[in-house]
Amino acid sequence: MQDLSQGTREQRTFDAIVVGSGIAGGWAAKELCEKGLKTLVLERGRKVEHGKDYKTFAMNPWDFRYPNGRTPQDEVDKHYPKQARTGYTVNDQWNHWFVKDDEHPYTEVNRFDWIRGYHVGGRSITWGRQSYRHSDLDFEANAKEGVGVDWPIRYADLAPWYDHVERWMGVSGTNEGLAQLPDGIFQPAMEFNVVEKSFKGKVEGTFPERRVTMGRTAHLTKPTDEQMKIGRGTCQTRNLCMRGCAFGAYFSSNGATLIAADHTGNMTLQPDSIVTEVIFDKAANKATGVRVQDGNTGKVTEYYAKVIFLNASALATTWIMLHSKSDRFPNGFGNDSDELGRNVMDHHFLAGAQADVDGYEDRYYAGRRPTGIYVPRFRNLGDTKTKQKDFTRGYGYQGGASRTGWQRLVAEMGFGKDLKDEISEPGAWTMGLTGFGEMLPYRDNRVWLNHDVKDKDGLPTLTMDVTIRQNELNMRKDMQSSAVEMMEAAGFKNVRPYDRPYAPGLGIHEMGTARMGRDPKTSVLNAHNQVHGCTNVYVTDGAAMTSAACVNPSLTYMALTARAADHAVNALKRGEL
Amino acid sequence: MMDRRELLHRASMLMGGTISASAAAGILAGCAATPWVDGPTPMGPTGNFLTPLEMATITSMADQIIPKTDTPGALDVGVPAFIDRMLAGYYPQRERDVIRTGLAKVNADAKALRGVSFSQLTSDEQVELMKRYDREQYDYTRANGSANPPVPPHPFRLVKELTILGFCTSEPGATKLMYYNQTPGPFRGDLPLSEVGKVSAL
Repeated sequence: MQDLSQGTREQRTFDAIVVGSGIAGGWAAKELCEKGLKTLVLERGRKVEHGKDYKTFAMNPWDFRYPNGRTPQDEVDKHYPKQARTGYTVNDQWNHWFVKDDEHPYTEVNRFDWIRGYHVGGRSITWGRQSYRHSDLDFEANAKEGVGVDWPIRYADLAPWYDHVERWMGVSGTNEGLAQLPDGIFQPAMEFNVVEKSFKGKVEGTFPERRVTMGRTAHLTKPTDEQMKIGRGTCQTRNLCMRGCAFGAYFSSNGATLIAADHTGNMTLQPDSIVTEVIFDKAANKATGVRVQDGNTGKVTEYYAKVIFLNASALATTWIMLHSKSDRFPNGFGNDSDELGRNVMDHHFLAGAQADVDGYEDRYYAGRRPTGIYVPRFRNLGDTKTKQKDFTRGYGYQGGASRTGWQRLVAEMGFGKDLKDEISEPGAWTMGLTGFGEMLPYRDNRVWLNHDVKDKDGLPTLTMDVTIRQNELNMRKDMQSSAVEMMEAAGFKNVRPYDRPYAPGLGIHEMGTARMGRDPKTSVLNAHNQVHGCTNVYVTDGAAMTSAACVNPSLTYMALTARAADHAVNALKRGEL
Repeated sequence: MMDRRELLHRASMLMGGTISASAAAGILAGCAATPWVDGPTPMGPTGNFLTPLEMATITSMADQIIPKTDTPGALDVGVPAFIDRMLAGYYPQRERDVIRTGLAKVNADAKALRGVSFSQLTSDEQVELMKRYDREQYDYTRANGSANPPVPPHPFRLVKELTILGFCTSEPGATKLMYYNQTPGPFRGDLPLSEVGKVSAL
């Protein structure tokens, strides 16, 4: 590729710049390129080619230096003490998709887990792929309850863009006709196993307001011609997704949006490009471009465009904005409201129940389903029956049943031939549910720039001060007790509630730090995700979220991005930007 | 999220306090195991941590834990070398110390019993001692499994755990004793067990 940083100003000028190549940036790139804009996509991390750079894709458990990719504890301690807090992210199968904490430090007033990777595709390679729509219950909640600020949009504004995104990316799932979890455009859902079928029957029979559905997940089960044309295929249920999928069976930027963007001939994708600032022109009252520090050489170059999409991820986008100071925006770009960096949200989880299941010993399943069952929110739906006394909002459950494998034998007594015989047999069925709960926006849950601690590129870092509060703590009790009552209704044994340590960020759904709103005094973005006070800059990643809802957020980032890209192109045509 | 779900599911098995903290860390890190066929491997054949006496002791124990039958056993897939490599490169000092001290005690017990090292005992004598250790580790783990901060694992627990891990994640263990298919194709949710036959290795 040509070295653009050596180029003339004209060569460094595009119609659009997209900052970040993750799930939101990929969509911005695709939509803007397909609508004819010459688009520069800047990614701070290294290049990743779909398929070719999934270096562990085909490896067997015995091909790794330690079993199944285990990373030795001293390496974890040295490089990944924070990235390892999830318990599953640091492993040789995929730790190349996560930053090294010693290279990319951050400071915690209270524990905050910022789990992320810097490379083309970002977390679209490692995401959980659960895809759910927000409903009007979510869009209206802040206004009704006087919490935070009102969303400047409603479900009807976003519904066509959810359709657009789901149809193109491919989501498997089932329509349920629920107001709190709008239906969508789905490929066939993955199958239930025998215990989950029984659970569904018993729960829905006992609790009419509760539904048990298959997780809506961004895996192709019946690919469209359009999907196959860009090289995507049917999910092979390897459930090794975080290694990257050479089949393109789950949705990622690398396997889908960036391919489509590239096919237009309009995209220039430049890795190793750390955007440090948005360049603001006071006279024109516009952003003219971005300042980029080369991730390898440190060389600083400016790139210019008519419209800029910030999609670096919620906190990284916020970092760029806080780091972009000018006469017009002395407290950070677009920060007239002092809301930039505030209202950090995540989904709190790891509260629910586990149970043992007797019987069904002659039933099994084939394949490793890369999703679980889902119980949509059933609390505080706006009627008196579901209204809760001690918390507002709600949660959904993710979970599933399975049979234990050889790992169970470690905990049992015995050795010799009997133990060996047991290795080949599936163990008993067990089932688990965990609630994913909505976290409210609290103004003093915030991040700010830390100039004392620098990252490996010599740039300032972030400090986080974020906690969950009474509403979340009360909800967690209900997340346990409702799971217990469903498991008991299903006739399961040894039902055990649990509430494991959760800290904000652990859900890897950080959001809210440049929220959308109706009033520039109390929000950072308008109804089209344009920055108040500088409308040729759009923010459509997690930073834009005005409330968290209780569902996994990526689908909403994608829909917001596609909608904003459409707005930007039309506004450009009208000469408004 | 698949991985988070799997984590939770596995975590459920940890909650009864029936698994050592080091095993929990391993399982949470994404268990299933590796090939430990003797001979050149990505890590070399052994880690050169265990002394010849310790290696002989581990070898006898691993052979008793997963013996060769009409299918390969622990020794056929190179479990002793695997354990040596794990101790040398994977585990922190604490686990190394546990094993070293534990194996010294095993050989002291053998010496007290018959005046020889553990590997020189008869098979029945080895089994008798190991049954005692197995009971000890089971009770110890039950009592301490959920301790915070975590207590060091019982040495026999660690040997047994590593033997099972090494065997089940070896190619012969995974493919001959279990159903191993990295690319199964579309998920079939509800089948008679007889159609699959064996447990999934992954």
